[in-house]
Amino acid sequence: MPDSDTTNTNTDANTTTTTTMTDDADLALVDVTKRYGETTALETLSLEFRPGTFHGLIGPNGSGKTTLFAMLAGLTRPTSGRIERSSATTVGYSFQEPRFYPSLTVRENLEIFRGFADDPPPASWLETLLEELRLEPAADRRADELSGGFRKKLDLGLALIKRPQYLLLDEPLADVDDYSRRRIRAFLDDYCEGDRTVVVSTHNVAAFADALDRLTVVVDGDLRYDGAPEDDVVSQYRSLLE
Amino acid sequence: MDLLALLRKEAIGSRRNLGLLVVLLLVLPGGIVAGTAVFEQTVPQDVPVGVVADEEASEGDVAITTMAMEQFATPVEYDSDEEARDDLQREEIYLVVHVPGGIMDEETDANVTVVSDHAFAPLEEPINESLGIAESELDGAVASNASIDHDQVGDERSLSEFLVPTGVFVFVTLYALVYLPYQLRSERLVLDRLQTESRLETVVASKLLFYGAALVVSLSAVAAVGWWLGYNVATLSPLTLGVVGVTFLYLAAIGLAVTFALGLRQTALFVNLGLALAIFGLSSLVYPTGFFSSRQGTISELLPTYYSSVTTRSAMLRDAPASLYADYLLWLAATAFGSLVLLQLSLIWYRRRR
Repeated sequence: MPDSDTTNTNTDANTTTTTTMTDDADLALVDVTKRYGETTALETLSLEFRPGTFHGLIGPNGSGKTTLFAMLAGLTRPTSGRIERSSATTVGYSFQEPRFYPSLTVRENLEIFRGFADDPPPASWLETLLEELRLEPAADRRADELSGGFRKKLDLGLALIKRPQYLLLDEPLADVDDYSRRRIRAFLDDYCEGDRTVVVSTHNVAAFADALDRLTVVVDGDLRYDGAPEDDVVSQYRSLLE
Repeated sequence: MDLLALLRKEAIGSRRNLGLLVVLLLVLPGGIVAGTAVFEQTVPQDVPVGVVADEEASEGDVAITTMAMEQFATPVEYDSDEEARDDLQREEIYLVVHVPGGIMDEETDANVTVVSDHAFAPLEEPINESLGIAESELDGAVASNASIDHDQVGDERSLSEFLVPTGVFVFVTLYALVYLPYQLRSERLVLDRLQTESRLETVVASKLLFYGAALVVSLSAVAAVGWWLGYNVATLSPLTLGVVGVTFLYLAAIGLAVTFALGLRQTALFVNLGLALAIFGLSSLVYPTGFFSSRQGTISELLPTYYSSVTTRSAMLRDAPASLYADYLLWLAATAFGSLVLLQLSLIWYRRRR
């Protein structure tokens, strides 16, 4: 759960955010700016992700959420500032657009990516993922023959296959059917137990409103809010956008 | 109106794929036509030949024989027959011309002996024609009754056998320069995920290792079919495996470097295809360097693919020790190293563009 003493909030987009890093955060951005040519995707942003939290990274399309995730996952480097990530920290990343081996089956994809882990979870974890993500019916189908929902679920499974300490999910429920959504939501809630962190990036705050322990709102590359969510997260988000 | 709308879509789409279309519609056809400029003749023009003077031969004898050979070749003088024959096997020269004494002596029936290598089967007919011309030149220039004899060394080879190493080289070029980049590009979507789990360098290394090792399967197939057809070709000799391996390595590294440098775009496949066509046209795969023109010869000798082609042919058709090709192999290894550096730079460029 969020630690209100060290929560850094910035309710006014025009004020400067000051961050005090906590000792228990293994993953953080410090004064990070990311530019693509003339375009600024993120501006002097500091943020930390604490163990055992369900962290919502919310913002409209194009606000810099995916860029932020790409930096946390080590796919791109900040133009200035730094990413703090201890060497022992494991991060799983579910992409907005699914990323997998198209010519391999669902099961083969999961097996291959399980092999990347230094200390892989038991093989039964793969079966658990197939079941919890409702991937079993497609387990032996080629990934490039899957429907949009199954593709998204496979990508989620690949992010989870190492059972990482930090799970970064970019619009994880897009294209997923309602029944699977409920199953996945429940599964992710359980996943946070045992000091694991789930960070969900979405523009659809309502989908995760009742699960969030911490809320970060990013708009046009600026940190608009970072702190505990209010009871009515949707209204809170709307007011932050205005 | 449907047609107009669809044509408009094609025009807009073409604008978005301008790089690809420039390569496909301008660079490739233009390059093919420009490439024809180096193929000027169908009889040997500037083929390097070695001239070895017998002990009795005078400077005049050598000079007059050299002049006769200059009709179709660039003569290079050698001190010993052994040295010249080594270079014959290395394809530094394509004939060894033995100059006897007394060519200038009108009372002597001077007999010039020209030695070629059985392994270079396509050269047999052009050599016979060219030597006929040289014999006429020589006979007209000296008072003696001069003639030219043609001997061949090495095991007799058919044109079919000669084409086996050429076919292997063509296959390896297409496999490394076109297929492997295509295969990697087909997995471009997973590269982002792979980079969260591993290094791009490791991903590329796994491709080079796997597809390089898989070449043994292809060479085994070549060996099996060759055996079935009764060919005497050393497809799986250590030298063959070595030269094919290093050729695959540098061509694949170049192909992948182009692919990453162009951001895994489709254009890269066409650029690599263009490179493969240029290699086929300019590496003297079937005819000796300088056969078509001096320019073609000069270009060939600058290309590592020429040395790959020669060493592959020698490994498969000639009974020569690998040490004879040590400098060629060193040059190919240096090319492989340079290509890997280029690949590393393209990977850095690819990552920095993100």
